[in-house]
Amino acid sequence: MKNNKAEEIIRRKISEQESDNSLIEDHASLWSALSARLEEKEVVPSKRHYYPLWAAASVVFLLILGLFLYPKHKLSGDQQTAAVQPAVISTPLVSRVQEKEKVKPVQAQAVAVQTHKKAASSKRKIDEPEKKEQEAPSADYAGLYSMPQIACAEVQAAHYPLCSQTL
Amino acid sequence: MDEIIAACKTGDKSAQKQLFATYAKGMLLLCSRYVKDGHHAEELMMNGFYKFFSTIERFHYTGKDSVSAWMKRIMVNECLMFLRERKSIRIMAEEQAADCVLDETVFASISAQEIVSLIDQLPEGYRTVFNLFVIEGYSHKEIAALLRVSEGTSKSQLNKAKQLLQKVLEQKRVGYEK
Repeated sequence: MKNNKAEEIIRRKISEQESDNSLIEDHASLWSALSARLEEKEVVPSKRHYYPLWAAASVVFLLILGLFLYPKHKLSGDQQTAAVQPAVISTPLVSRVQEKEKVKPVQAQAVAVQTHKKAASSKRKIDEPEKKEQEAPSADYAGLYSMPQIACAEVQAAHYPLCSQTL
Repeated sequence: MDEIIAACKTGDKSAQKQLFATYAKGMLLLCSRYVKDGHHAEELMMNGFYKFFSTIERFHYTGKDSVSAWMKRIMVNECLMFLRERKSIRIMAEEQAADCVLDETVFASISAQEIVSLIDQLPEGYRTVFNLFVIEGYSHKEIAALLRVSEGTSKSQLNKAKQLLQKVLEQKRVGYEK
């Protein structure tokens, strides 16, 4: 209790001292500095005012970005394959398709990829019974897919002789 | 005072000036209790007033004391932020110090200025906890949250601050007797 009394005296004396309402030294200069800061705050809008502007700018940026990216996403699966794997199909095959179909290089490549896919899937179907017998694929078979350019020509010659002739 | 606050809320410069004139000296003394350097204390007082006027829309007037209480809270927060940024408060988790009893007769006989100069001699951590608990009336729980220490640490810092104060007072008394 005695301790609280001493603390009470300290609190009261200091509170009385800090309740002094007399003017501070340099009152005029301190007030003018504070007043200038407050006026500055009124003139310059706070950061919060810029938030809608930032949000709008972000939306516009995302829209522009979306417009640039949109055509790539809208490509069909084959076109995407053609766009992603241009080196898989040999150039002579593509040029032949282009000549035959009279289409643009990208479309020609897409047609070539489709042909390649069909050929590969039919080859897979034919090879399936053999695969069941063999535990691991033969070196030749594995190599077929590791070298897609050769595989394409070979598969076409083996299973689509007419197609390869016309192409 | 209610009208002055209402005018301040509308951005009335003369009302703001009046409020600044009334409280500036007291708030500067408060900041000086936490930050010894006079220039820093003045800067913190100015920052505190700037925050007070900037956030006055949120303040609800409930009497004259509510103005000074709100203002003091802002000033204390400014000072604590300053001390934290400068990493000058180094409060170590120390062993629990024994409760210390301050001699009330001594404090009753000395002036507020002398008490403040005694508190000034305390290390930063002890002084901050002493100011917050004894003068501002914060609880140990509030101090622990403000200073990011445990309640036990806050209590031990306060007891050590009191022990040191008592020691300084005794030394002074011996000096006077000599």
